[in-house]
Amino acid sequence: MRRNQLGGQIGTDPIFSATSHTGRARSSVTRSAGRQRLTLSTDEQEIFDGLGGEALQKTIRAVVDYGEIFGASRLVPLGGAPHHAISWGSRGIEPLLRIYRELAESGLRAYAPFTSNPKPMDPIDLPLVLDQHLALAKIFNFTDELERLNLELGLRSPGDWSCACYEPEMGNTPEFGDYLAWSESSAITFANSVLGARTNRNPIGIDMLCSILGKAPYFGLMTDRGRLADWLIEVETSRRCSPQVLGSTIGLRVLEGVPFIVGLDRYLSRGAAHTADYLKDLGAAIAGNGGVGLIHIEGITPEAVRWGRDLLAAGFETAVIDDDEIERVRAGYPNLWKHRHGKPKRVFLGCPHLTVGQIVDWGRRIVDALEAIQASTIGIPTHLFASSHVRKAFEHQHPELAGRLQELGVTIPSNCPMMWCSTPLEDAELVATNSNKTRVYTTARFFDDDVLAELVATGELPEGVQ
Amino acid sequence: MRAGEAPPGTRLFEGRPVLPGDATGLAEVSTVPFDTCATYVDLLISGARSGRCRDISNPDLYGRDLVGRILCIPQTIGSMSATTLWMTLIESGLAPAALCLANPIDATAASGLVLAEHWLGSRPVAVDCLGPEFLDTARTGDTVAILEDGSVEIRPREPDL
Repeated sequence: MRRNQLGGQIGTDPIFSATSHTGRARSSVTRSAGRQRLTLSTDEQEIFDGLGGEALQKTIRAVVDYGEIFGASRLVPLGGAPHHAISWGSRGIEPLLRIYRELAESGLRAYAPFTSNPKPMDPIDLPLVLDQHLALAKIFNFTDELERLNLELGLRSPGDWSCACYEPEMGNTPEFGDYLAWSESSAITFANSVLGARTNRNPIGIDMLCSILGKAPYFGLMTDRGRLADWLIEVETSRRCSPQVLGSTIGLRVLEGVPFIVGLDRYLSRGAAHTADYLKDLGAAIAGNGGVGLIHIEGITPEAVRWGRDLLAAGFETAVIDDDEIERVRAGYPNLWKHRHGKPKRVFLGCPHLTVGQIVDWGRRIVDALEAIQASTIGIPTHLFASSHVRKAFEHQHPELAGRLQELGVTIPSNCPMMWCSTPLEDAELVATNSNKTRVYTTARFFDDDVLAELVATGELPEGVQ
Repeated sequence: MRAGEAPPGTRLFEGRPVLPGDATGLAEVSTVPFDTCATYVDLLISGARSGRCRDISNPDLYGRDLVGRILCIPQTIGSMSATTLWMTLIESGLAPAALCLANPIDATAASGLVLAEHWLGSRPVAVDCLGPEFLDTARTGDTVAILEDGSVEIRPREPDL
């Protein structure tokens, strides 16, 4: 059984599988190859030799060392804008803050204004009781300093915290072929797969150093070879299934491979907004259940459309995902609630953060479910997580629905539901979610959307669901 | 035994010197992947200055003090916070002396050790790609000697009498 995030796993992307954590480096690393030497340009060599100052010298030396470990041949210039995963100012990141401080004091900044993952807490839309406030103030005692340093190093603005940075309202949307050095797995999978940008799964620290340098080591998912698929996944389900469950089924199967998925184009239309939403959740579930950073979907994702099955590497493996396999994986999700058959206390929807379209869908669904039972208020605290930019766009575009949800008590917090669940006081709460990533890394229980809609309306799990 | 001759039962393995150096010490062997954050949860959460393994799901190492030892593991897993945790361990003098990994090193451990080298000026020796037979051979309490070129010698501990 997979572990949950308890036991000190503070962070957004713990991987409990034996992978390289890069998304794709294992196959290129062998003992016989040794540690490949990375070739530097003249400009890079000058920085390496210290002509750009000590902080920049340490930056390039660390990036070069890191790249050489994974077989990088050179550094490549980064495009788009950075997105960093670190958003929690806990004691555990203190050494990293010292690096940030040194970089900032040396006057260094990221190559472009960047966005960052959501913070662990939203005191306004997911309020805490006093005891929780006090405890969390101790745990996240470096939050203010992290924000200050991020702003000095190039965070776009104090409101730019979301894991779904690529949404139009967030505006950090890379172009096809852009090299990136991102570090949030769901955003990485979306950028690589749906947008055709190129980034490895970067660890915290290395992401910022690459952003400061404006370059990243060229290996793994940044290379043509690293983007070839080593798995052919044939989806033979009788209907379009939840991206969350299909994603976890694929992620558990391929672990750190690159899957080429066929059979999904029956259910998805290339370019449609709903397709992008589906791919966002599918990619996050695949990335969260394995160490994946790139998926190709026949007829849908840009590289699959362009190169088709030529993307399959020699010797690829094949797996069939049918209704039975989906059900087998679904039935294996553990119940980690402290009181296994207790009554849920909250519903969390939106990990990764919701899009405007997804908030509208859930909003209408909740309103309809309440009307169906003639209820005037929701039966359980319900939270639709989204960035503040997406929330504002939703409120602007759908004022009536936004007002109705507010009347019903549904809130739209902008923090990270997964990190909220993994702090010591909150991990005992019985949280119901439709996010596979939240399920993997916390004690929250996964339920299908129909079950959650009824739970939101009545406050009770439907009969037969325990 | 003549001078310079290896003790009986000594085995030599060739790995990749990821972060090269010489190190000799007593082995602490885990046959399951090493969850860095779960191992050092006391240090991570409460700041307790301890290098003792607190990972309840690691039966090989739970409760053992890993400070200055040669950690012999398949690889590390778990939270990305491990990057900074490695730095904290090294800065506090609580880190193992070396990591011997059967598999290729993962990004989280690699980044933590690399950042420590450049920002703290210190880091453990790390050798990877030692293969599964390495972990089948090494036993906790054996003496492990690592050389700059990535070769790793295991000298079995004396049997308890």
